[in-house]
Amino acid sequence: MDELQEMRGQMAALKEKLNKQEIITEQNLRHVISKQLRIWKVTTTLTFLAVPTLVLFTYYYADGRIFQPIAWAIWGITFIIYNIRSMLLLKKQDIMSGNLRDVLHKLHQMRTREKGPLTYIWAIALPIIFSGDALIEICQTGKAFGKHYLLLIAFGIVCVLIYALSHKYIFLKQPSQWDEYIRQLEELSELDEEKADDKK
Amino acid sequence: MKQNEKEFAALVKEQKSTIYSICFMFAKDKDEIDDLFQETLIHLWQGFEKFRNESKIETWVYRVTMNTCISMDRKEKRRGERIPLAIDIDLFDENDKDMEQVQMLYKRIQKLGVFDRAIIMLWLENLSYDEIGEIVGISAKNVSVRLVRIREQLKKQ
Repeated sequence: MDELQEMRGQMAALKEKLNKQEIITEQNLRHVISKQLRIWKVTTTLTFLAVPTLVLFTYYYADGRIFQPIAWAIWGITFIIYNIRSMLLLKKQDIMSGNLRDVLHKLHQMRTREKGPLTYIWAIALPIIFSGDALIEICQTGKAFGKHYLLLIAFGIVCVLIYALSHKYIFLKQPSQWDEYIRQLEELSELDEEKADDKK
Repeated sequence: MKQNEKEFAALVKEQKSTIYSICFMFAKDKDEIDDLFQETLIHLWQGFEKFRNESKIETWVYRVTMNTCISMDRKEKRRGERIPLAIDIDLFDENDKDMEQVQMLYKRIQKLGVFDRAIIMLWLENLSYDEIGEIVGISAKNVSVRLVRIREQLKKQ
């Protein structure tokens, strides 16, 4: 039997099983329609407001030390820029009315940006800045920890290395599924080019 | 419930099997289907009031479901509370003999790339080449070419 026709039969079997299930309850519908979605939007907005508040707070209580507030400010600004750019690139309207190819293309652009300078600032530069500042503080007050303060410094260095390596693995390594998506996007572009050549 | 909420409820109940089967084909486990399904419902609700009958509503449901399945970040933690779906079968249960045919279908479709997966899913839903092309973003001719290649790929499996 033709594979596609066999799959039609299998799909019919799947649909038959699913049609017997309720799947969506009144509770699911109320949850979707309810205020909780608006609460999430409010939470996101507050997060954007919380970042500059944190920076100002840290500066005010930094007691003359300028290093930490600057680091927090860089973190906050890159966080906001990153999120705004993602929100502008792939909008809800794209999900509602865009085609699959365009959505995938925009997602690919977002992923490419994730490998840009902002991610390197987040993943590598900022942890180094934060830990450097912490180490300076530990060294300055080292005597208060007695003979264990060198152990504390070593522990801090190990934490920074683990943090930096985990970011490199999780955020900077391109997941293999994206290679597949990009390959398919390229195949579709080649198909369009073939059709354009045929018309000439 | 308001009138538009009732209409939305009627629409998703009518399309529940279609939405669930598409989410199934893009998921790795039952929890992921739940997440995709509920994310799709949220997107459908958000777009429902603005839907202006520029296409058939069923075509729009396919479009939103596919786009949601592709774009949802699997690493992102569940946003807020998730209400469990009312389904007592596990499509991923390989020990269930009733699921044998479903599992075969799933494995075949999983071996295809994302566009081919979308094209074959829409073809199995009996959409026309024009409708498939509109949702995926390619011409109807390209849809027929892709289906031939999909058939060849499936034969090699």
